[in-house]
Amino acid sequence: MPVMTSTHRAAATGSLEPATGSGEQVLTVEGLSVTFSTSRGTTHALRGVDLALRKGQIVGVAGESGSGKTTAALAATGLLARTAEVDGAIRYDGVDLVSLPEKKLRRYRGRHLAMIFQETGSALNPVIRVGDQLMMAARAHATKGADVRQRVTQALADVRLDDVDRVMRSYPHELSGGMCQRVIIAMALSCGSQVLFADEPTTALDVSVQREILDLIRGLVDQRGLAVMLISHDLAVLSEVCDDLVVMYRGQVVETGPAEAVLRDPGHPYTQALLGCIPTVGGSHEDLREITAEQRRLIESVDEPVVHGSGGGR
Amino acid sequence: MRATILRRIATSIPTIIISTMLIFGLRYLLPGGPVQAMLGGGAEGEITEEQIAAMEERFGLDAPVPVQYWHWLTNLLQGDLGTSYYSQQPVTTVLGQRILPSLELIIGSLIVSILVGTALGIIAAVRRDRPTGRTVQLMTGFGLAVPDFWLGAVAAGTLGLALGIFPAVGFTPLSESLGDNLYTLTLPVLVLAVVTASFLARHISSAMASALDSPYIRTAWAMGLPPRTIYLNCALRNALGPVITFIPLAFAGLVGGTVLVESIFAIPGLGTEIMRSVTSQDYPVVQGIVLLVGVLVALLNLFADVALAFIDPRIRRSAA
Repeated sequence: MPVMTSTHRAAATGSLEPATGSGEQVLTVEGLSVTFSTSRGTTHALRGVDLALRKGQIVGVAGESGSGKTTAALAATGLLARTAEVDGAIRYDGVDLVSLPEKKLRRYRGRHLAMIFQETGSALNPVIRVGDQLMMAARAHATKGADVRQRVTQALADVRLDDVDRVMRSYPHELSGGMCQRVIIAMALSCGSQVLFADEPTTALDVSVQREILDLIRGLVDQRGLAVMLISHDLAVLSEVCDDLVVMYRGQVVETGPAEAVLRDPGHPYTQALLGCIPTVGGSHEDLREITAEQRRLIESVDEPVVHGSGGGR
Repeated sequence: MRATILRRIATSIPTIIISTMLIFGLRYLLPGGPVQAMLGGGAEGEITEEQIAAMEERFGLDAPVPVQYWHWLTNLLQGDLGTSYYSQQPVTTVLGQRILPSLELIIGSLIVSILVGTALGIIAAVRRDRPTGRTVQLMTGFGLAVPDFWLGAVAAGTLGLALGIFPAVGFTPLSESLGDNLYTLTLPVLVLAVVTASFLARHISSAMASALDSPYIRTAWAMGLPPRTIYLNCALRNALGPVITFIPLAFAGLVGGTVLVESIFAIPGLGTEIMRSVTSQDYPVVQGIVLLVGVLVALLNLFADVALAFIDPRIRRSAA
C-alpha cells in the first residue's frame, strides 16, 4: 500500500521526482555521542544514537526536553557549541560530516542540509527585507550567473505564499508567524537543501496554522523527495505526518519503527508513558498523566531499544 | 519618513528654547555678576555705585531680566552673540577664529574612534570566548580607564620629545599648510580618540554579542551563510543602533576632551578659549561656546534619530 501511494504521488506531480528515488537513505547517523564538558562536570547529551533519514520520508523524533532530540539535529548540521565533543558518524552522500572541519561542513549547510527552529518571528533578521534575506542565502549557494531571484520567487511559490512580491518587500514584523515559517522553509529550498531538520517548527503557532505548516512539509516531502527529520515533544503532531518514529529518552533511542506500528503497539514503557500524555477529544482530564517516579524506574530498567519491523519498507 | 523627521524637529523646539534660557541665566548664576566682570572685578572699593549704574544702563542691564533675555535672544537670531569683555571683539569673530582647529580635532577623533572602535568591537564580539576577544576587551578597558591628560602628557613626552616622531607641542593652521596641519594634529587626535574608541568598542561588542546570540543569526548559520556575511551583514546591522545613539554623546565628550588636549599641545582652539573665558569671567564668550556646542549636539541628535529610523524599520513604523 505505501508503495502504491508513492508511485501515485510521483505520477501526479509529473517529472518533478522519480518514484525510484523514494525511500533511499540519504543521511545515516551511527553511534552518535555528544558530550559537553563544563567546569561543573560532564553531560552526556547523546549516548550512541542510530537513525536514518530517507528520501521522500519524514522521520519523527519524539521525547521530552533534554532527551537529546535537538542535539542530534544540531550535531548533523554542525551547529553545536564549540565545547561539544562529538563521536560516531553522520554519513551524507558518502561523507562523514562529523569528521569534516567547520569550513568544509559549511558548504553542506543550506546547500544540502538545513535546519529550521521553533521561533518564527525572531528567526528572520528584523532589519532586512525578507526578499533580501532570501536572496542573500540563495546567492551564497548559487553558481555564478544563476538566476537567484527566479529561484527565490519559485521557492516562495512552492511554500504556497501568495503575493510573492509583497512578501519579498516586507520586513519580518509585517508577516504572521506562519508566513515567517514558510519564508524560512522557502529559504532552505532556494539554497538547495535536500535534508531538512525541523525542530518544533509548529510549536509556536496556533493550531490551524500548525496544521497548514505540517501539510506543507508533507507536500514538499512527497513532491520534491525531501528527507525530513521532524522533532517534537508532541506525539499527536508526529503521528499525523510521519512515516517513521524515533522515540528518545535521556540521549538514547528507546523505540523506533514505522509510525503506525510504534503508535499502535508501543513496546517501551517510555513510549507508553508518552502516549498517555496525549489529550484526546472526549477523554477526561484525569486520563492525562504526567510521568511518575515509578514509571521512570520502569523506563530506566529497560536496556535495549524496541525496534519495530524495518521502517524503510517503501 | 518625512513625517518622522518633521515631528522630530518639532519636538526639539522646546528643548532649544529651554537651553537658551539656561545659557542666558548663566551670567546671573555665576558669582560677581556681569557688571563686576566687565569692570574687571577688582577689589570692592575701586568700583563705585555710579560706575555700576552707568554700566548697567549702557548694556541694558537695568531692565527686567525677561526683557534682557528678549534682547539677547533677538540679537542672537540676528547673529549677534555680544562682545567679548576681554578682547572687545564680537563673540562670533572670536568663535570663528577658534572653531576650526577644534572641529578638526573632534571630527578627526570621531573618525578614528568610529573606525578603530567598530573594528575592535566586532573582534571582541566575534572572538569573545577566545584569547583574541579577551585581549581586545582588556585593551578597551584600559583605554576607558586611562585619563587623557596623562595619556596626552606621556604621548607628547615619548612620541614627541624623546623619539621626535611627532611634534610635542604646537599647531600649524590649516590655512598655512595642509600637510603640517595634519602632522601637528595627529598626536592630539589619537590621544583624544582613545577614550571614545574604547567606549564605542564596548558598545558595539555588547550589541554585536547579543545579536550573535539571537535566533535570526542561528538561522543564518543553519542556512550556510559565510561567516563574513553573518558578522558584517546580518549581525552588525542590528548592532548599529546603540552606536548611532552614542555618536552625539561622544561628540559632547570630545568637546570636553579638547579643553585638556588643546592645553597640553598648545592648540589655539575652542578648548583653550573655554578655559580662558571661564577663568576670566568673559560671559559672552562662555555663552557663545555653550550655545554653539549645544546646537551642534542637538543637530547630531536629530541626525542620529533619523539614521536610526532609517536602519530599523520597526522604529520607522512606531514613529509614523
